[in-house]
Amino acid sequence: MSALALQIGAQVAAEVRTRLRSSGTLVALATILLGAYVWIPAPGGKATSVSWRLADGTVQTSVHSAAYIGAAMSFLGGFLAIAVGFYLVAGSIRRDRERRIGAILAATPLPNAAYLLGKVFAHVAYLALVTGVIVPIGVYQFLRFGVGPFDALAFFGPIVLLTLPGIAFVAAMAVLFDVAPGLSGRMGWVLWFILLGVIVGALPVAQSLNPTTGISDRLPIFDPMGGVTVSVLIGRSLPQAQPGSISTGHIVHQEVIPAVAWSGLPLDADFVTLRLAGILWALPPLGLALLLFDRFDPARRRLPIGRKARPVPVSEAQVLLDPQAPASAPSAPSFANLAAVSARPSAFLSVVADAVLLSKTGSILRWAVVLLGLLAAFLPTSAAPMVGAGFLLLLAPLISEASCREALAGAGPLVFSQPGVPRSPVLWKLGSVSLFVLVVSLPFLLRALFTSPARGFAALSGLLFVAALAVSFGILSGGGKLFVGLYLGLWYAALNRVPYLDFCGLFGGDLGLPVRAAYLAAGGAFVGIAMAVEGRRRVSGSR
Amino acid sequence: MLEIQRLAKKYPSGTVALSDFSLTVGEGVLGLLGPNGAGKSTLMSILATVTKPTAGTFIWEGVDGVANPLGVRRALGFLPQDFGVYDKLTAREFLLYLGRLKGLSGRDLKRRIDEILALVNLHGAADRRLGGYSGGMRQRVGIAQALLGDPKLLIVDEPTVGLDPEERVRFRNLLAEVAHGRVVILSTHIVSDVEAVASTIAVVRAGRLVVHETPETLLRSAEGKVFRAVVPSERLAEIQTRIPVSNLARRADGVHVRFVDAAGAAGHRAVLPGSEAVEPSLEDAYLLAQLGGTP
Repeated sequence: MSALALQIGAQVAAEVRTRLRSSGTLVALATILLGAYVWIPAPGGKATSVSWRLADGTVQTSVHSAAYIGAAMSFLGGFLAIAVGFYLVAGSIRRDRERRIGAILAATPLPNAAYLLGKVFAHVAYLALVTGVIVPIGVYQFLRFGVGPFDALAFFGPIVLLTLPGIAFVAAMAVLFDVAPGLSGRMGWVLWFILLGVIVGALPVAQSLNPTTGISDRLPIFDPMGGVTVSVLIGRSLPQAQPGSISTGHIVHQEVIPAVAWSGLPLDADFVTLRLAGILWALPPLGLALLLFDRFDPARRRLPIGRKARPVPVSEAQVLLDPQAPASAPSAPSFANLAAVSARPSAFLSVVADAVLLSKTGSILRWAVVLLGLLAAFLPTSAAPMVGAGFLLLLAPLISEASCREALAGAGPLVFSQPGVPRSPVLWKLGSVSLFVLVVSLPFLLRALFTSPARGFAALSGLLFVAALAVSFGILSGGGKLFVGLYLGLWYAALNRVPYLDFCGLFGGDLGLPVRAAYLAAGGAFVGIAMAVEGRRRVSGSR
Repeated sequence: MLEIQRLAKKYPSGTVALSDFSLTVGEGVLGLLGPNGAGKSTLMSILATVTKPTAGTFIWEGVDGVANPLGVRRALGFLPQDFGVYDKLTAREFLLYLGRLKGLSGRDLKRRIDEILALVNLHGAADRRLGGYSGGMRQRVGIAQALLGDPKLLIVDEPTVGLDPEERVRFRNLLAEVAHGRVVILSTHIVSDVEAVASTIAVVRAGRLVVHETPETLLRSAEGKVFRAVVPSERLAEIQTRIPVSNLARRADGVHVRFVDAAGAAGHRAVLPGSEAVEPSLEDAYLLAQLGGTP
């Protein structure tokens, strides 16, 4: 085996092991398993994974054949790879930098290309493993509801062909975001979410449109998620279906949908070639990443977008070059001569201090959130939901790492040994994150309260739920990505008016007190789990 | 002032880091010495209320530190062996944050931060982001935060790592000064640091307390057990497998080997007949303690 292959193999093994041993993987696996289980609804109900409408207005779905379950699972696999996968793997190079492993790696003969390729392959391997759990769930659902023989090609073919290019593209994009200035953290997570609309929707749809008919019937060349590809293929396999009437995903209809025989996605040469060639879309971001990668050299590190290098004053430069520079240094004072201080540690003061720190480290995002919060309070009622949606979107990255900040910086022993930190760090973080969230959302919270107490309570309970989610997921996974990934999914579902998921009551979801109380209870339950895990870590010394 | 009672710590992996560890510590600097993995950092972490012991407890001025960690934290200043900082904050902002967690506030806190930053010689770089600090400067920020709340119990784990010689001396002096009326526990591998400031020394081996003595008593116990010999360089490897060498220096006439022998003159001559007894250093005494040669 060549040296390069060995180097890449070693990286893949280390990276995948590290990720598999993190509690974030467990949470992600549990969520994916649950999602995959729900994705294939029982036959004879109102919910479908794939449905279409005939010319006479009848809506149909397929019987639960291997082809149908395979097609539905392939769509889920593509979605998981693109939308969730990024949040699972992004930050790997950032972690090497922050944990100071980067400097050690930089001193090895490992070429830049091998390092970045190793990261991409590691991401691919990990995402294939994590996304792969949908396969046994699909098989299980076939065993429960399956009709006809198990056609392995019709089942596995679409899953592999739809998921693999998405995984490769996301793996390369995660590496690119990790090395691009200003995108390796929270700003990048939000940008990726915004970019998803273009990557998943706008670009593939634009390519698939037939200029003559105006119908999406051409296979797109660039479609990492494969959503548009699936729609086009289903359309080709169902000439009787009305153009543009195909629905994929977990759709709940008004009435029971009749099921008919369907041959599944046609695995023709065009489709197979396009999907396999789609893996090559990973190359442009990888190439760009190679250009931007600074090999952990602080001198080559580019400043984040928008920040200019600050000239160092002469006196300060002297201090940096020679910390003992006598030029401006007063004679060293004696410890015994320092003025006495009187400390009154309190949990309240600590909560406020942590909330202030949360604001200070919030970069430009905090001002955007404050502005959107104000706009949501004073704009006309019709505009408030969209501005509120922006507010809730940007809130996620701001608070995502608050509860694991110490773990990420390695400052845990310094911080947790302070007298003001309450006995439970989880509750401390819950207090500070809740305080921060309530302060920045105060204008629109007050507006909701004055509009109606029910709306006010909905907003309040929703925001507290978000704070609890951020704190508990941060503690459980040791990072902010898991929270951001799951929260953005919830946000998207709420925005699209999925029943019961309008967690803040912003998008017209009049859910009533019991549902609001359920949100608070769910937040409390997550916090309880985080407290139990944190307590165990403290005993085991792994905090 | 600080009473450690039968502390034990077993990690889930099965590693026993501390076992039946008891010690009473009074005012002044206690130097904690021991090889890597001896359990020093675990002990420090338990005393700093960061880690819970598996068994035993410690009492700080009547307060049970395991049952009531907050009672200890009020008096505590802690510098861990390996710590991180928030790279995007300046030193002043970082200390402001930690000061508030310690219960300090307002002008008192701001003045205190200025004074402490001057004390650790960082006043000129106080408003620079910590991400741009050198290792030594970060270490001094760590020292500054440990002293911020005027602690009565100061626990410092490898505090001089990364400091240049001048800063090391400066810190030693500071530690000696701070120790008046306080309990300071200093864990280090650098015996000369302990020698300079410690009023008592505890030697730890495999999670157990081996010796707890004053430096003078430790030195006395090593008298007559430290020797020096000149050996040809080709014999060095063989000698090192047979006797515990505490120091060596290559010279024109051969390798000058300094070694300890718990059995004294009766034991060493068989290996190196030409050797002569020398006055022990604290390093020799520590080595002897590690080998079980002192009470």
